[in-house]
Amino acid sequence: MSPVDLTLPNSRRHFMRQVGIGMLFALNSGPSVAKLNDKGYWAGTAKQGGFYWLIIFDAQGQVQRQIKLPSRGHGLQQSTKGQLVVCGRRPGVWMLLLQNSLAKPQWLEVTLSSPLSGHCCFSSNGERLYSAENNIQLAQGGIGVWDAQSGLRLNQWLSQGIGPHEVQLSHDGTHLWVANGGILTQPKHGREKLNLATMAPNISYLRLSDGALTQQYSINESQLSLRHIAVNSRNQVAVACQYQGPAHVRKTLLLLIHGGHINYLSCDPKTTLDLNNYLGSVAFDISGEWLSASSPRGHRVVVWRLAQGVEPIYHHTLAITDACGLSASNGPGGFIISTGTGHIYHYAAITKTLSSMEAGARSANDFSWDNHLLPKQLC
Amino acid sequence: MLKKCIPSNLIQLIFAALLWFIIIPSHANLLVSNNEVAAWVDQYVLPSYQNLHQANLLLQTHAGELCAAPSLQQLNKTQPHFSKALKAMAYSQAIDGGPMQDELRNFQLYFWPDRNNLVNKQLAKLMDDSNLQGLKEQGLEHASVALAGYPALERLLFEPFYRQTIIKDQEKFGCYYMVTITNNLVRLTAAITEDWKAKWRAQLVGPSNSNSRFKKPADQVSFIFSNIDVLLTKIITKKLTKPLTSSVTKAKPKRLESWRSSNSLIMLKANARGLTDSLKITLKPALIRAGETSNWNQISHHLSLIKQQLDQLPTPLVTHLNEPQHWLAVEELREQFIQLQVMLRALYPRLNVHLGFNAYDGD
Repeated sequence: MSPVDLTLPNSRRHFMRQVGIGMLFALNSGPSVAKLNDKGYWAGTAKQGGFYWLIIFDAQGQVQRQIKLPSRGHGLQQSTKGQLVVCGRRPGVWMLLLQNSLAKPQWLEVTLSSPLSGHCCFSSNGERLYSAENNIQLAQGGIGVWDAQSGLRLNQWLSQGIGPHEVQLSHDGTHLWVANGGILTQPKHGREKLNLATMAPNISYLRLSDGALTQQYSINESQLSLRHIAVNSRNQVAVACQYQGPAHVRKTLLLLIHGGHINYLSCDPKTTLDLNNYLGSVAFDISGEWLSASSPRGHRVVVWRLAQGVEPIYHHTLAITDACGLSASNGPGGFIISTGTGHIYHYAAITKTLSSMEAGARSANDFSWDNHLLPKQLC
Repeated sequence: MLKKCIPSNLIQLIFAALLWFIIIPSHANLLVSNNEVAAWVDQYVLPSYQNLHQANLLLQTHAGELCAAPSLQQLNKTQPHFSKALKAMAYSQAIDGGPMQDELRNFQLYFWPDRNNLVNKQLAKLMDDSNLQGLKEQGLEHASVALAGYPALERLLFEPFYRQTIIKDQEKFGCYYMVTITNNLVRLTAAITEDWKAKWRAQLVGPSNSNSRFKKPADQVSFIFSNIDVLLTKIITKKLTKPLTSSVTKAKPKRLESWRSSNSLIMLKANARGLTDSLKITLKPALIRAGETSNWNQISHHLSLIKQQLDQLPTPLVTHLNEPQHWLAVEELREQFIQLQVMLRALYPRLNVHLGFNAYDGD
């Protein structure tokens, strides 16, 4: 199979030349870049000038490197060895793997029979890569297993549900958490949701040695798509949902798996209303005691604290236009927040301080930041 | 004839490419100033909601009078006040964000489109005595949003079955319910207007790092044009594409909004006026300041074409959509709205407008 074609069609390239914006390609590689896992660097995918990019930027919001993507990107993950992977948005047909920040991009071969769902993660030693995908033939979710060095595909497991979206490694690196969102899609129907009446989302816990299901969590709300997850060092799992039912009905969207149970984190009625049935991203801080979830449709970020690491307590709601990307910053209670309107903020939950990170930024405001930022916590 | 041979999306693509060359020669940024943001609130948003509130107050008064002596004549007399309120609401639809979203006010006011026929289903349930008792005790607070606004009221005023129920009903069920709805409409529009005056105006006009979603100029301007884009999308996809379908033989006139009261066309005209006024207040000065008067003239001309097309359509549209010449005219109107959206979207990058990248199209 041929690798993903990164070239533009002739007619479009010609058009680009005509309008004089081909100069965008000059930005394909930047100046010398620190290692990806150095403190203070983040990455995200974004749209700029009609194209989609992987962007690596520093703590001040300065863009350090950008790589053009074949289509809109979605999830990003970093390995303990400094590798970085970006997944194409659902239905995804490419994965971009960087062995280090300066490395030549590796474009992994994705088959149309198993299109990506948008997220992937590394094993704890960085040798394997796991991707959420759809097995079209079986109409089931799959987990692609890849060699994270060569980029070769090794295997596919069942995700134990339909429409897996985000995958995350367990705290001890022995299992995989899989958010089976429950929504069936098929390439011939694009992103159309084919089974809203019969959805059955779940969170599955798969053993990495053989892909076997060891635990599964489900909820009574069949149309609450369990889509994004974050895992902390206690193996607590925050689950961010998107409600697929009628828009005038509002549901609690944030869940926490802890001690073998799945619990709803209910906000006050106004916040529940404001979240607009849609969470786009979820993240723990570096301590694992603070939790944030973003609602770009509600222009909100909600923050929770796990008192004594256990009891979830609602902390605060931030109002930020089109906020979606979230990742832990370097300090306890710290989060980086990116927006579709091109802004990046730092939020210190302990002091409830929100500050802009764009001072001195080079062209960062031009970006529409996508759903996710590179999590500081390693997969 | 040429148009029939070329797929409409190809026409749109060609049109968009032409616009790219025509409208974006300089790549210079356009700036919608703070004054223009304030003017949009003061000259469009607040007057829209004030007018809507006044119309609802009148509707409330007439509903009360109707219930003093229910008759078909009184019902007929109330109808124009309903239509006036609906028209005022349609004019305000170029601003759907902000306080309109609190408490699901948007759904409470106007539960449309109603894909699952929820209004009829809920109304049928309400006929049950026990539910009526609940309504009397709790008002609409715990009722479905489908029962709370114009679509339910429209049925009571215009559908023969409900009109007869109101007249014959000794318990004055229908009247009581009508008054309850109009009270709710008045409460909602009073709250929206007050929220804009007390909170939202200041937040939108003076972006700051306080816990307001408007922290940067890009947030302000994106809010305004996102609202405009939302309305255009709603017009194109829900108000026109759904009833038009793919051909005149398959047209579904009852998918037009407010067809029961013959207000579909009136609402489209009010929508177009709301869009035009919003763009005149915000985009026009930005383009003229940038020396691009010709670009504004093009947009203005296009808005005039839409108005002309709307003026040529027959009313009530629901009875004419199945006629080939009128189906084609509505299809042409749809194309004009699409082209307007394309023209505006071509300008948004220069205005630093981001149309809800994740809000509209996240995953």
